[in-house]
Amino acid sequence: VPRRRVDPQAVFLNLPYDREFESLYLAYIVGLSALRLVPRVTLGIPGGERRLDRIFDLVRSCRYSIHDLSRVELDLHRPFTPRFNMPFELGLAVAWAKLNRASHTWFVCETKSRRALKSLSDLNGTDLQIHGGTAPGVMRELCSAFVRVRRQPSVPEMMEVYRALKRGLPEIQARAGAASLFEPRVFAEVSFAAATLCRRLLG
Amino acid sequence: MAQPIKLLSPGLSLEQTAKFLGVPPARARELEALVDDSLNGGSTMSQRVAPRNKATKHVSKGISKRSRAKKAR
Repeated sequence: VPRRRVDPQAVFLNLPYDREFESLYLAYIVGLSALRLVPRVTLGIPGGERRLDRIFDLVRSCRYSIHDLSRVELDLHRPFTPRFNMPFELGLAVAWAKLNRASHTWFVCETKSRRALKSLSDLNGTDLQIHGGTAPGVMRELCSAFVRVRRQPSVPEMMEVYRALKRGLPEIQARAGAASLFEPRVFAEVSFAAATLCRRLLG
Repeated sequence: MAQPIKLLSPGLSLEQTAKFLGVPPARARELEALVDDSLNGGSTMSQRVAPRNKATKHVSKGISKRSRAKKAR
């Protein structure tokens, strides 16, 4: 496998892209921005043969990855299936980290404690980040996974950024003509707005 | 419990972040202005899209007490 430059601030976010997950999606973006990290997602990667290669390239280029396994339920549309993308991409990241211990670190997040150990028992012995399905919970878990040595932001400070970001969302979405937050352009602009808010409010 | 990862780097500048995320410089400046506007309590775009919200609010409220009283009269 050819070597690829690892971005020390980049975090691969492996999340479900659904409306019920929007608030946690924003919480991850804000939390990572407050820690001066930059989120990366698979939005915008087209389907087809090359998709898997590009996802793997993205994982390899990120120093960290966060895998949220909260969506293990069957979906609401026929045929009723669980979603395997998140555990699959976690598997890619784990394998990559095994081969390159110094260049990749992964974390697993879940809403409910013990559920991931049932749905994916291979994770037994791994510390999971249980956020309880709330935005402050996501921020708390990010703060327990990462510590900024110079100035660690607090959860209330991150929540202030989160609320300010939510106020600006209608403009960002309207300008992009986007029906949801899970579009590549919206993701980039929301992430940049979160980074700007963090600089302004947290220094 | 695993030890948290210590982040020593000051992180990317806003310009570098915009470049990294693929946000064009002109749009990055607009977003910075939007953020500043919003923090200063100025006219954010969320207020600019208010007419639609206002209409929804009006419908959901139904007939006001005042107009009901007027009709009764």
